[in-house]
Amino acid sequence: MSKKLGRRRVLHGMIGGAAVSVGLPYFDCLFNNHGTALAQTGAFPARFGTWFWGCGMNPARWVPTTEGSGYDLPPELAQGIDGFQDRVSVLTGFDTPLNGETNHPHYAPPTVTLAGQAPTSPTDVPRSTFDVEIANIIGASTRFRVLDVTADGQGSAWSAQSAGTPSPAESSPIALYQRVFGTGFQVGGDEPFVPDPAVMVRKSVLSSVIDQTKALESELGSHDRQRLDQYFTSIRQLENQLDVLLREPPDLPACFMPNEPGGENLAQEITQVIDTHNLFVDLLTIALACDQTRVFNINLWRIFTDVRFEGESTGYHRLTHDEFVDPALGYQPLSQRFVIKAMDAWRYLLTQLDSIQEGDNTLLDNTAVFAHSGTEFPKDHGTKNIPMLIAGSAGGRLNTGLHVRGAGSSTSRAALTLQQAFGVPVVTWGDRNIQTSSPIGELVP
Amino acid sequence: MRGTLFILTCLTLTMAGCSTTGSPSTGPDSTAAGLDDYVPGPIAMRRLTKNQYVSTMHSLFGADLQFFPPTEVDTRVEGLLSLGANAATITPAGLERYESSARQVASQVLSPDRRGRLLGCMPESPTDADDACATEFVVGVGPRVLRRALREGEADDYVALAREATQELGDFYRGLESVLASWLLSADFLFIQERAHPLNSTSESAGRKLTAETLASRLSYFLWNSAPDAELLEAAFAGELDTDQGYRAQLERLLSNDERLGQGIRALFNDLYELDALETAPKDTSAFPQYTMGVIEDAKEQTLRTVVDHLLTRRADYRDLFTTRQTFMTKNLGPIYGIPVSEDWEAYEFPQEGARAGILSHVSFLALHARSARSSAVLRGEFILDSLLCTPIPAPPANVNFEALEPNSGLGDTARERLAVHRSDPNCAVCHDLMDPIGLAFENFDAIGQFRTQESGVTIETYGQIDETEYDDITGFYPALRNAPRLTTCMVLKLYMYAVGRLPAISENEVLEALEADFDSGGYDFVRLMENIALTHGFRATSGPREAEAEEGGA
Repeated sequence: MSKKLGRRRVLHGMIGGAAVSVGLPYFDCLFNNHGTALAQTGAFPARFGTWFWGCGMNPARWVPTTEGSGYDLPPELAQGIDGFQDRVSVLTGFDTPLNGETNHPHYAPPTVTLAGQAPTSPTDVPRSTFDVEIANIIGASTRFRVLDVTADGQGSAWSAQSAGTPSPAESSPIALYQRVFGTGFQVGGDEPFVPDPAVMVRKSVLSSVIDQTKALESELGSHDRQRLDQYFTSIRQLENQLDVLLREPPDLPACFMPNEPGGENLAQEITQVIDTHNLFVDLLTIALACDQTRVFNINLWRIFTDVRFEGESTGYHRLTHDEFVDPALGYQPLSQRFVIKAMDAWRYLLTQLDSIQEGDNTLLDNTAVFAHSGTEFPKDHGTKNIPMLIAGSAGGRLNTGLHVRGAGSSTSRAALTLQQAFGVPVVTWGDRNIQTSSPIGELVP
Repeated sequence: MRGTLFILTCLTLTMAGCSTTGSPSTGPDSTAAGLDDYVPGPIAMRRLTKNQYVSTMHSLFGADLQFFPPTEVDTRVEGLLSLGANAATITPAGLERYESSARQVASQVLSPDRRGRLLGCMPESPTDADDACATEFVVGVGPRVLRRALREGEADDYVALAREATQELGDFYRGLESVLASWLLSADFLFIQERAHPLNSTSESAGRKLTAETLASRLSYFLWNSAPDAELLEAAFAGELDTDQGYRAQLERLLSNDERLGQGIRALFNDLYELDALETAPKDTSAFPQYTMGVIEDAKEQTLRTVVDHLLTRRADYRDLFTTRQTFMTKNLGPIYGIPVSEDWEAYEFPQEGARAGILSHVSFLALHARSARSSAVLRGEFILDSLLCTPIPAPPANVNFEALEPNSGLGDTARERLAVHRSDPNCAVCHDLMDPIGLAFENFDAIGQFRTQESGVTIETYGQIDETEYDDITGFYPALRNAPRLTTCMVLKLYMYAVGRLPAISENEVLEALEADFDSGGYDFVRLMENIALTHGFRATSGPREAEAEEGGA
């Protein structure tokens, strides 16, 4: 996994429990007829993703000492971005204020970072998260507006559709495969395209559902009408999905039909969790290359995770609380192994995105992946200095390769910056003392 | 937070009311049912929980149906998924799953070997549209699935959809499948919809009466955890539920079906005790190789069986659920309880004077509220306070240091000693003084609920205190909890919220008090409490549609 891969040669994955390499079409800038439109305009779509890892890092080993470009690479950070430094911005010193709410340390920071609002309880989902706003702008025409996956079995990847409604995440790579590459998926240019009449009927069914449900709208109060609106949005999204299946698929050079994962092991040992994550990354990479989606959310592991090294009885989260800080090292040595694993997984994501060539650039360049964690120093479970990374420029929408310090400002500035980069018409973001109108200027081209 | 504060206020008021002993209740004429001059909380449009979705499909089309369960994430409010459901909406990914399930279900329901169950007619040709037969299907099945009468002209639209789909696919039954799929995706199916009559249907000070269809769904999901059956829906359509007599007749019918009422009680306890979480609660498999999936499934079933046996079959005192020594055993569970078992689900009685009595001594509770490798007095204490006594505990400070709690911390051999170190910090003591004495009573049970007398070679002490009652060990804890007034106050509150799908309005405090008084004077008969709740004005009426601003008021 940590092996450095060539920039576009292989897509490396665990298929059927064994490592296999899938050769990607060796097209580079060559497009056949179907791909010419993209080639001529150079308009590869911008993509967005979030990536969450639970229990932070060790500041002395992760936070660069210099700011701006060419920042230094402490060892834990190097593990995550070595070879990609010029395309990754590192954000440190940003906090997640709680607006006077009780700190639910295992849930609050990612919720504040993504939703701009502090949860009132561990199960509170206060509002939609900003990835949903971005998906509304860039994901509306693809088959899936967004794909959410979780490598540690948590039900969601922190994304929420609206108040009280977390977005469900796939926890099984096989299920994700079947959803995206199962019945109905076709690689453009492979064989003559014939629209499936069953798909047209499914569309008629959805139209009927909308027609019949309209009558309900007038009976509801404003609270429930908002919820019904979300329901309509979801139906329209599914209609859109079916529309995509009824059109001849574009012949995208990097798109191919992956093999179905032959097996999976969803246990909580570190090897399995990382394998699951990497398999998800492989499938998402192909889904992006095939333009099945432009937005994704990945949860590597939650803060309250039980992921363990093989043969050990204490899970990562327990270790962060229980393990003594080694005075000579200045960190918790057992817990620290998980930071390294997380950074490996992050680099795997960057490597895979970078392996897909799109014109003169790669899929990574056309994407902005926003990584964030739930704390800084694992043992503290604090809400200050939440580490964040942004990889890729989303096709030139963001400056990359910088280390920016937040000086105690809110992580919602990252959320605002990213939304504006993707054209979400938002000038302020966040609730009360989380609120900001100041994007991170260094990142804005 | 608002909800939490509100519950505490409500609790205080209710406890005050508890001291006035109500006159002997006679069920239908209970004090609670007699109150009707208040405006209850608003409409509660609830997304079907995962369990409700599955049980609804099964009761409509048969338990042998195969389909993917929903992927939507149910969230808890006040400890109940059924309350979180009134804020939930439908996500794109969730709808995608609902649509595949709808197609799976529709194709099975209309498959050659099953279609006769729902369809009395045959098309003239199986490959052509047949409006007459389609109409029969639409009119006969639609209202059951949608849980409401069809609107004017609606049937024609479905018949048109069937015709169009049949023409497209050349198969009459696939035409009907698309109609059925459209119902299974409608907001009337995926949500429990509630509708109210106009204001003039009752006096202004009493809110608005819920429609008969709404009452049918409320009754059915409350008592049976499923969609109304044909008879209940017929009664609603015929206007019977609009009369007190007709309503009571259906209520009695639902309450007298032990099989289905048992399912309803199981669903409630499954929700309140978070038993679905048992499957994913992490356990250290190297320390506990005997804790298998079979144990997990049986542990959950053991508790649910005991609950139904106690509350429904025996109609025993609700409070004795926490002291009863009656339960059921399986071969999987035997080794965990350290007893020989010859037959699965044989009735079993825990030994008198032994450490096990009541459902809190079951593996389900003890293993769920523990860490992966060790017991947790804190988690156990917190659940009892929060979910059984309605006394929520705030979250711990962020940077709490748990080193002292580890068996190898050098700060004590037992959890009691280690927690004492922890509680020496006054910031921690505020909450731990409440949780620990309760949770420590269970220290004789390890991370998977096995009995033990020692930890690290030192004898475990399980003395403690709940409210003013002190106990020497766990056998004293069970009756202390049983007799705590908050136990029944809290059950009344939780069950009422579960029934109406929302937090109570301030105006409903009085009825909660009356319900508790009825519970009290009726010998803590749980089924009667369910009946009394279904008879309240709050269950049968509403302030009206729920407005967004109403949230600020705690509704």
